[in-house]
Amino acid sequence: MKLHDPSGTLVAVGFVAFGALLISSTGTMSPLGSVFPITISVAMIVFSLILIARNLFIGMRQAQAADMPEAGAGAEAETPGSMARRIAFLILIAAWVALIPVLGFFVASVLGFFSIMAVATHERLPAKEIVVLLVIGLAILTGFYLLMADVLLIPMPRGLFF
Amino acid sequence: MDKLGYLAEALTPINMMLAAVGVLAGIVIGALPGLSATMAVAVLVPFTFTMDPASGLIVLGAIYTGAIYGGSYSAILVNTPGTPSAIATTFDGFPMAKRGDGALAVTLSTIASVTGGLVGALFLMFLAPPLARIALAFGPPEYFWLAVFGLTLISALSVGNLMKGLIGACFGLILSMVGVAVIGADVRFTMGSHVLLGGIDIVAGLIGLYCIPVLIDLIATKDPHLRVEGAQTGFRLKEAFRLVMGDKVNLLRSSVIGTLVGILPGAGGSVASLVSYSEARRSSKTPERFGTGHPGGIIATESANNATVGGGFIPTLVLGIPGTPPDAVILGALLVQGIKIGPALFTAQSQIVYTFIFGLIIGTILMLPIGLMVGRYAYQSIISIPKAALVPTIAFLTVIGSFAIHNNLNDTAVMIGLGVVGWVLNRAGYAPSPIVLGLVLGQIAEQGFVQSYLIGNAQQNVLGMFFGRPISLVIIVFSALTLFYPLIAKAIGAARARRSQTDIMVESGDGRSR
Amino acid sequence: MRISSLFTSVVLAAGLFTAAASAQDYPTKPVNYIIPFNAGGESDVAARLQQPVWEKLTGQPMVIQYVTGAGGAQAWSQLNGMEGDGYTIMGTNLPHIILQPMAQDVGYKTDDIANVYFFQYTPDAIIVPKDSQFKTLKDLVDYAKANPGLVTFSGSGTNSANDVAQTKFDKLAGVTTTYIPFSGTSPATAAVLGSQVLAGFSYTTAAISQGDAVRVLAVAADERVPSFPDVPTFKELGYDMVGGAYRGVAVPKSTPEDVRKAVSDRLDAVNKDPDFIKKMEDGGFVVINVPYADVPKFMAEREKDYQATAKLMGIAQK
Repeated sequence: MKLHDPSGTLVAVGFVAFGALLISSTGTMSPLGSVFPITISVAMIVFSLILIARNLFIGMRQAQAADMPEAGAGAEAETPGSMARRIAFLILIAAWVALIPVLGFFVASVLGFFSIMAVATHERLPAKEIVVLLVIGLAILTGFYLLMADVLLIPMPRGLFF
Repeated sequence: MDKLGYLAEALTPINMMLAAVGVLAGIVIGALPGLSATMAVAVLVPFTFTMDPASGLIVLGAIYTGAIYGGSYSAILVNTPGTPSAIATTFDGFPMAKRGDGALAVTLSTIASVTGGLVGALFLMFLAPPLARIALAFGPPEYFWLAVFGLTLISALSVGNLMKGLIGACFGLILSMVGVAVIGADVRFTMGSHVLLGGIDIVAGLIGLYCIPVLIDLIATKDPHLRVEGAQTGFRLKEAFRLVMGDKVNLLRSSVIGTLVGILPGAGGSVASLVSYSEARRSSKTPERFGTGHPGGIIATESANNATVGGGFIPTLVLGIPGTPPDAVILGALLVQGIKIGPALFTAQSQIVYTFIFGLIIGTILMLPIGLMVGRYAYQSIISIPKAALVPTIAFLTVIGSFAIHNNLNDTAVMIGLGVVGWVLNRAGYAPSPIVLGLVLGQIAEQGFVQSYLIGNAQQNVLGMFFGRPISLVIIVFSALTLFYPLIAKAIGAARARRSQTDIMVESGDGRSR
Repeated sequence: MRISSLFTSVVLAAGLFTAAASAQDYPTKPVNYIIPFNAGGESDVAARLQQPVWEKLTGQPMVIQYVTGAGGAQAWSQLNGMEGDGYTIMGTNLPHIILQPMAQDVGYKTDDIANVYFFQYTPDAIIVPKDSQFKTLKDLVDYAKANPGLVTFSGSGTNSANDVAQTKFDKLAGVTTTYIPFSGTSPATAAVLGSQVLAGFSYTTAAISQGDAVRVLAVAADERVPSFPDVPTFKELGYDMVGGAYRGVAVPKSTPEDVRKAVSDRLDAVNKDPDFIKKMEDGGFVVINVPYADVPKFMAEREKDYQATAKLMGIAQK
């Protein structure tokens, strides 16, 4: 039997567990503070169970009618593009934010900005274009940093550098 | 008429210039996600102390209007609402931009924003004192039902995938409960971390859930961000006007909804645009086109959120109770300037009030040329900037924007965390919009619910509290209509089809239908 | 300027920094004044009134910023992580910083907050809509005695000054009323104006901006407040209730003593500006002067008072 919408179903199972976890943590709350979280968690569990049941049911039917075309909420077609770049982006932006308190806002942003730029570059660029991109990048970074720090007077996090 | 005298006062060159500068500054700040209207206004308050009260108010009003409108740029072009008011603008704005109609979407948003802003300002000028009573008639049960009404939009947003929409909304509601509760002061779902003590900020949630997935998919391919070949970059003003004129009812209805919701303290632009979007979709002949890049969606949300500007000033100026967070800042500025707010303001200090309202109208009108120009420029830079520069720039803006909410990196961490969660969920078919809806409406719903329960319990009439109040009943009926309208419409359609079929059958001599 | 501030932070990190030189001519650059509550509230309005006077007296800008959330706890729990150079100061509120850590772990303890000055308080006041059946406090108490639990009071938040006042009042008057927490003073006042609740525990400041639309039944000040000469105090009516929300300014714990003193001195100068006092009183605030030297005594008094009420409210003692 092939499971209908495997990722969606898996996430729904996760939501059931998550809801149960939340309900178990409401024990220490006052009655007023816990009524809403419990209600919503229960609702989330119920909806998730309905979704799981429906997907199992559809999966079973599909198994019977072997090659029925999959309709509607099926697993989305494999998204195009490079998964490695996606993961790299997430790691880089997380590192960027983690580094801000260590290195300071501007320096961390320079590193983050240009490393993400490298990941976003899909073909080899001529040296001239690289220079242009570097200049654009630095201009954007400096411009916004000055806008934040000196015009809007926002205290920018400082670390080893600024 | 003496009101016209105030118009002359507002029309001084210096005030005109201040209004123009204010609108421009507001648009830029509003367009950057994280830099909200509230912040724009708060930052500029000290500068206004050096001006005379009316000029100061005109600048603040102009910035506020501009910021609410500017939020639509990033919603349309990058799928990230620049301010919470522009959440619903992403639904149709971004699909339009993706298919090459970004310039048209921006122009539509401009026309709708100007119209909405004018309607709101006119209500403020002529009907403020009576309308202020609406703010007072709205008690906890009404807020609760209003939030529920907003949540019914989920059924429309998740066509063909209702369960996932509902699960997402529950998840969003749970996110809204994180932190110290207003009622009961319980610390909830912080996982023992002080990072989450202050709750999950709506703006951080918006940026994370909408913008990070866009970036993730943007970086993976070399296709351009928006479709450019064949895209028209002109103003497309004529086309936009034709579309708006063809959707007059929607435009006016949304403007009025925006004004009315704006009057309610604690509801605000996000709720206003969600409600009017939902109404526009419900009453449309082609509801299925909403969410796929339908101009009507942009017209509804953008006219409504700019109408909240005028609407929000109604309780602010009449009752001294701020209608929206930026109003609260402006109210503070008024108090500092020594202006007494309250019922006497409209009579005792009518000069300042009416000069201000005319200033607001002037600012709104100036938004048309300024907005078209800035919007065109924004669109062109988004489509012409190379992808290698676009991705890190948007990423930088998400970091800046989420940091600037409270000048705190916690919000940035939350933003990225939610971004990853949102991306994973989206891949499994759970769209971000229901989650955002839950996050935005959760607090309103919970507080309304618990307060209603407490009051009802004290009066020993809990049911009457929830179901026995006229305004509540009206909202409940509208919620039910929105929720079941697709079914009702289908039934009506089927009945019609059946009738015409019957007619044919009768003609053909067979009396039995079906 | 950037290089110099970079230098400063490097020196700071090395622990070689002596503040002596900077404390005398404090402030020499813009001061960030963090308000832990939303713009437009009492804390914000008071800060906005301080701002121009500060700038006039010191010649340096005062930049008001908002770090909101968790009834102020979001900001206070971050306070000590900020730079202790006197250029980051934060508004603090009583009873919040006493009651919140008492009730649960909110990321800071009362003693963690280095208060340097308390400059004003807003006395508690009971307000009713102008067409209310309650003309005097006695009407309200009589009604509450006849109908236990039926009188609803709106107020701002749980474990807040309003919450404390309502609990205290119930005890002193021997009645049972219901407290309905709202997310701020504005929505709580709106609930009174719209008769969603029968009365509200609020502050004189909120009552003033409502003008004739509300009636104030009693004020929890030592003597009658200038802006409400006709409204009796609770004391006059036989209830021993003086209190409200006190507001002060704190600095990060790492701030050197002489800088704390300098901040306190500048704030004291602001507090003695006649124009400032007039505007504050017009707004319903009661100006008090508690400079750095007097803060420990003041805090001890308040803590004792709130601890007694906290027991009534059932807040867990730690």
